[in-house]
Amino acid sequence: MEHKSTGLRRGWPYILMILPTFLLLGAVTFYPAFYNIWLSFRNESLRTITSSFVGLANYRRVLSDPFFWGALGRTLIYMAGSLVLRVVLGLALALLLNIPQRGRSVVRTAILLPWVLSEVIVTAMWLWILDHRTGLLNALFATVKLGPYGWLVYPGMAMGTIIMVSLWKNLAFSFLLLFAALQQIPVDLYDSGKIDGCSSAGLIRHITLPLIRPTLTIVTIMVSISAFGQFSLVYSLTGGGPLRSTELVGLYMYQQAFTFLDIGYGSAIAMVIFLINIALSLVYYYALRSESLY
Amino acid sequence: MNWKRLGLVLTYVVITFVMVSPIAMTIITSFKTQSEIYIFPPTIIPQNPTLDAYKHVLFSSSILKQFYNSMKVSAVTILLTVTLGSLTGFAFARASFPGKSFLLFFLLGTQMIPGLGNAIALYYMAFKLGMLNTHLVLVLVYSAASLPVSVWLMKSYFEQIPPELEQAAQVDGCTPFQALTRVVLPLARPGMVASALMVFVAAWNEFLIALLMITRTALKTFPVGLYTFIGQFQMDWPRISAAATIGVVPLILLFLLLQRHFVAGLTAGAVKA
Repeated sequence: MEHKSTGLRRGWPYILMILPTFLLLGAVTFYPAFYNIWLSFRNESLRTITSSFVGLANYRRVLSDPFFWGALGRTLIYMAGSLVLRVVLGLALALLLNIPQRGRSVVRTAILLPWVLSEVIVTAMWLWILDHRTGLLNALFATVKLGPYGWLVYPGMAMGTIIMVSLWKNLAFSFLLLFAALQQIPVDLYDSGKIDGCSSAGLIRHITLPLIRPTLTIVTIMVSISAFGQFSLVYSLTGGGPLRSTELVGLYMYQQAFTFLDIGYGSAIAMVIFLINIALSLVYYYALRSESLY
Repeated sequence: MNWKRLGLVLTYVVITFVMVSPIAMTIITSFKTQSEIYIFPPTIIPQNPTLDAYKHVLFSSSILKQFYNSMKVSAVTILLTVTLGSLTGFAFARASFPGKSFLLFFLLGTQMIPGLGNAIALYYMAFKLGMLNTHLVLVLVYSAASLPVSVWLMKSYFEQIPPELEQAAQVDGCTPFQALTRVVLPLARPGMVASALMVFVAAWNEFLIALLMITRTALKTFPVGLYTFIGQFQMDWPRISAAATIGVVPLILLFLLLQRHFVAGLTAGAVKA
């Protein structure tokens, strides 16, 4: 085609358009990633001036650190709980709001609202609601003679509470993608399904679910990656407590690097987080590639 | 049939209540006195409406300054990201040049580097460069974080605009750059709005990097300032609610006005990554 340049003479304005973006990404995204690898092999600390190469010592420490494994385990619990709830409820709401009915756009907007708020604003709203002595939620339960519950103060409940609050904030994402996928399905397919004698449940199982499978895969992986990287909500709502019960791996990394000022050790934890993210992204990539075969 | 409709509407009410009531209660509480908030069931209209909490937040705390800091950082980030994202997206949509597919791969690769994983290295770099406690470092980090998605978004918008339009402009004597700014960009405005809103939400809400980079109260961004405020005024729910409301209202108004663009921008990363 004529508009495509054939050589550098026509191409240089385009290269100028691209250059600033890649300089910025190189300096602020790629360079730190490599710098982080370098730091993870050193005993770099904000408390001392000198530092030296220590080989794999930081990584050996990560692997034998019971608090790291505890944090990783809790992160997987948080991730699994968030994933199941956000996908199942997101799909249920998408199916519900796919039924034509007056007022559904109001409900849609209501689901989207918490999504644009920052985690700290969400914390400001929920801290009071969840307060175990004077909070609104316990007052509500008290009207039916239940509770009081220590939503954020009982170690056994705090993780569940965090999962619920992050569900409230983030449900919009899975809902939106699944809702968009449902709207792509032609109505004729449901009509012919009904003629063939399918029940409503049968229609969902045999028509809806197979057709939204690629979207379900995307949602699953995106939610997993975002839940794995959770930091702000636990930092501001519980600070990892009570008794470490909500200490996720991102928070643990933060504490090692900035509370105990051990940059080298924090960097090694960051590398492990990075590798797990790469693994999740690769699963994403291959799952999507096999989906496109359908 | 009518029962089915009634059930549907009841479900609507329950969902809307669950999603909206925490936000509504925060706004209502910000106008209450400390003693009124312990009445149950909570009063929907404050019995003695007061602006005391706002007076405190606006005149005796740093929240207003921090609100301004966030606005400033977000605005500059939007300007930088949308400009670079449009230019790069356009070049990728139109040109073929050596190494293009490698650069596209590079762009996708940045998406694999998690923000959490880079935070320590970024902090240490800023520390060594003496850039801690500057807003510039936030603008650079936020722009780099949003650019890949912004480029993809703009690229897909530009690909929908027929190149014949710019060719016609160039035949009429425009340079390629003029063809872009005068003919193509006005047509790609929805993409730019979606891109800008995505960047705004990300930059306005970002917490971790802002927490690390800025330690001086007068330079903090709104989320970090609010976090400090919550710690200082524990259990003083009217004041905490007033501070939160100041952060909530602009975002919600913007969202209600531009919902369609918001949705396009915020899901862009997932639709075609």
